[in-house]
Amino acid sequence: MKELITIIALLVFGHTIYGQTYNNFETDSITDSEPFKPSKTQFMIRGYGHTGLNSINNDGETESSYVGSAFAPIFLFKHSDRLMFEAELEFVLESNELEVGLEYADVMYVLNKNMTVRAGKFLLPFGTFMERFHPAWINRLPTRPLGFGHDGIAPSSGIGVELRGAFELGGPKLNYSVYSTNGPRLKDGSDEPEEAGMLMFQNFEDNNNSKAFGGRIGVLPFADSSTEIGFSTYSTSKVGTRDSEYEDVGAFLYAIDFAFVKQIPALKGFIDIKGQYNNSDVDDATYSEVHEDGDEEEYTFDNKSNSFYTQLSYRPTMASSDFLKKLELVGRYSNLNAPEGAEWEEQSDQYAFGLNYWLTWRSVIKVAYQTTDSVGGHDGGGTANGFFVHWAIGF
Amino acid sequence: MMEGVQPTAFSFIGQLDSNNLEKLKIMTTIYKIFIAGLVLLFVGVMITSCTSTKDTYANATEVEDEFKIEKSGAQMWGEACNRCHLAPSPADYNDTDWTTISLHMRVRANLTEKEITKIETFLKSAN
Repeated sequence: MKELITIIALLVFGHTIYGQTYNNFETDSITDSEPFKPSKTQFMIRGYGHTGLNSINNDGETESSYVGSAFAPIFLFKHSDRLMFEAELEFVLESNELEVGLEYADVMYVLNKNMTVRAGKFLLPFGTFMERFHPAWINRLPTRPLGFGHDGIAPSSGIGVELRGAFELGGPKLNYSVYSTNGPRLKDGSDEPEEAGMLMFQNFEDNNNSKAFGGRIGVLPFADSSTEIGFSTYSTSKVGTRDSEYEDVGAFLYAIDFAFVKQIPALKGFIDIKGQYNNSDVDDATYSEVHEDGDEEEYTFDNKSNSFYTQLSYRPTMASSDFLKKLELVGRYSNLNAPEGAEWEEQSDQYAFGLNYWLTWRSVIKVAYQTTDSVGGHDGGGTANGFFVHWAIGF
Repeated sequence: MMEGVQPTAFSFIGQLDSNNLEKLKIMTTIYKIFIAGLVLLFVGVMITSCTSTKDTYANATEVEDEFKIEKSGAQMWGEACNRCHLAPSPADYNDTDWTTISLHMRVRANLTEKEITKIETFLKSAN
């Protein structure tokens, strides 16, 4: 009997023990507790937005308005470790209208460690400002320097194909970019006589068979990557519409850029110096001007423009106060010279000063004062002083 | 055998017929080729030895390279990101996001493969 009880007890407890042992393999629980395994294909939305208050006094006339609410989502589709599609939309409230723009939309493929190919609409590496520094949460001031943006002389984006990459040279580094795009088209004055001779870089459907070719080479001579010097060119043999009298008008542009960013212990903070010089040379052509009395007059001019900006900012990142660490002082000078004799002839100088407060690494409140002295230009010249309070955020 | 003539080691040559003489010449040629081969082998070994010695020196240099102070991913993150914007906080994105952002920034900022690899590794380790 004792033996029978012992066998039954063994069977009962033995079964339980076996069952627990089986559960201890934890095959099911391990599967449940495994972290989510990401796929190779990834989709991500990033971008930036900004809003603010502008108060501008133009020769005694003051205009004040809340502006902006700009929203620029960036869509990133990573298909593999080498292949990606990127696009940026830009929604801006301007002149009581919602303007929607496609800042860039391109597909990129990493060919090897030193070369990537991009195709589509991409930001042009003509200098560095438009490609790297123009987003509101990166630009240290609420405005762009003269020569960039609307009616600027520097191209910002283009549709075409590009090869780019970078090399390690021991300590120094070198980066390069070569591209071909549709190129600019010449404003011949038929639609906007006051802009005859200007280049319009939005050339979504090429107006001739001549493509623009350009490139930039950047050198970072020091091992700490604090300094970068770049040289860019952009050239096309034809900017006029096919079969028009302006068909053979060509253009050559170049830019020189400089950047120095370094934390200097003696100054207890980051020093950030940037600068860019742009030069545009369009072949001479003859344009027509219709006077108020109906008479038509032909004129020509030496179609050369240039612009320049330099910016200095300082962040006391090594200060003992947490409040001071988040402050940034910034000053910028920019200058634009549009061709003498053109309807859009202009000589402008601009000074801007700002105080920024960084809430986080990607969110900044910018307070700035800017004064611009112009001769000529769309507004006929004069002095314009502006006060700006902007809040920009990257995400 | 001729009388009064002391036989030498090669005296048998005279006794060889033309067929055997031809074989001897072939053997002599093979012998010369063999010797030449040995000389070439010796020279080759010498050159290889010298080359090997050089390789050893080269290896020694590589070993020294290992002791060079390489920049860390954190240092590169501080240097490369701050060239345009403030360096991002690693905690703001997860590993998957950093992979996508790294590919985007590699092309956008024209960073080298070494830079972006080290920065990405750092960001993923510190988030």
